[in-house]
Amino acid sequence: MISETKYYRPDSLENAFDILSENPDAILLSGCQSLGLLSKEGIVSFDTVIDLAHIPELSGISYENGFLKIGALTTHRSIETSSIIQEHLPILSTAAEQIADVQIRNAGTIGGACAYADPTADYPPVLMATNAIIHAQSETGPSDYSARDGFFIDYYQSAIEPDEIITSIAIPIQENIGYGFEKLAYRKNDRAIVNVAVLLAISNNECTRADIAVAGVWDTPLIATKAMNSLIGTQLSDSDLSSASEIAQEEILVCDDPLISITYRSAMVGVLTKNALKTAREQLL
Amino acid sequence: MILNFNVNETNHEVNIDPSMPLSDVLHDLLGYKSVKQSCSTGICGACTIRFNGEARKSCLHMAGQASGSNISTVEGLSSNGSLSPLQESFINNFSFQCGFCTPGFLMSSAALLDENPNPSEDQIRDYLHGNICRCTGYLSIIDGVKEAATLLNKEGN
Repeated sequence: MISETKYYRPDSLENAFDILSENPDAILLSGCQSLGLLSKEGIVSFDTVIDLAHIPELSGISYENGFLKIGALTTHRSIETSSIIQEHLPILSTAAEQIADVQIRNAGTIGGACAYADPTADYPPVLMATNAIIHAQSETGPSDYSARDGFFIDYYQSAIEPDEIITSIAIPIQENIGYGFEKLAYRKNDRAIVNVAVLLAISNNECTRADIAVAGVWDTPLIATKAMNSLIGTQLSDSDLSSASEIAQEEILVCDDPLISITYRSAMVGVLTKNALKTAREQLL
Repeated sequence: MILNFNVNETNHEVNIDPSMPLSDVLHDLLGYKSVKQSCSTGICGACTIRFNGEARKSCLHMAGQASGSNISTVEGLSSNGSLSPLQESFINNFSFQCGFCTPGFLMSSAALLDENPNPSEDQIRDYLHGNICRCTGYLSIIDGVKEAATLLNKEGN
């Protein structure tokens, strides 16, 4: 008989780290929506589970000192419906409502989605475009990761160390920002073939901030640096947006896929970027 | 490991591997036969139950996650042998043929109507996005949910 899985439900982070240090191969369980699938497919196996659902330090949504802070265990459904997030960072609610379906959004969490680092997921481009910080903690102390710089390191691989637990996501909020989020999928709410998140700000009729992140096309989500730089100082005219999306289309790396050609996917990077930029601009004018 | 579940207001204590899928525990061990397992990968929604009121896919939960929670299944929809207005509406509108997906649709619809007693057609479609039917077609299911909303609102008045 196969021995029973060891299952822990710690009620504090401290307690979780004690269990984790005694069971370094334990798997951390958050919403179980991706892990459940991976274990059923035989891709992931484990003999010890640490269920994080009962750790109060990992939940809660707040807005303080210019930062929106979202506990790692916050579900996609809560992010979709939270009035605080809808007010301060509506693009995150927009991305959340495009994840899978209601049942999965009721269970899956933002912390789990970050750790999983699915290159076709909907939060990563938003977190990169908004310059989010991923707060993690280990027994020895906290560490902060920049979503844009070094968190999403490879195909389904985040920078989180095996002894770390993601505790929260913090996003700096700037007033008077225009947001755009565009997604192309096989069917509604499926994995993204391409998704794009965009932020724009203007001052005295000139673009002062432009952030563009693209996912679904490469091993990790990517930032369109050249396209972003091309917009700064412009008046965000139609031709400014068109030329920025052409630059994004050129600079964003696109993987080969058995079903979709590089040419098509790359063209869609341009189209979605342009549409997202237009949506963001509408909110500014 | 000993786990406790409250299913349709009945307490159950089971001694099982806590990583066992919740759907297996409900269907195979506790006899709640309405909890159907079809794709087992979170796509089809046939195993949808309510977990502390929320529609969830029971195949994508480990039993350990649900210990101490309130679960409801289709067996809990009827009372004293009479069907709920939602179930009656599904019958009146031919909202099923083979019926395999129906328990999942009923539990998703029940959660929707509790959250939003007057859903628009778009809201119904969005809420039922995670449930797949391969024979009825979705129109009659949507009609069933609409009629249930009307009936429940009349009852409420």
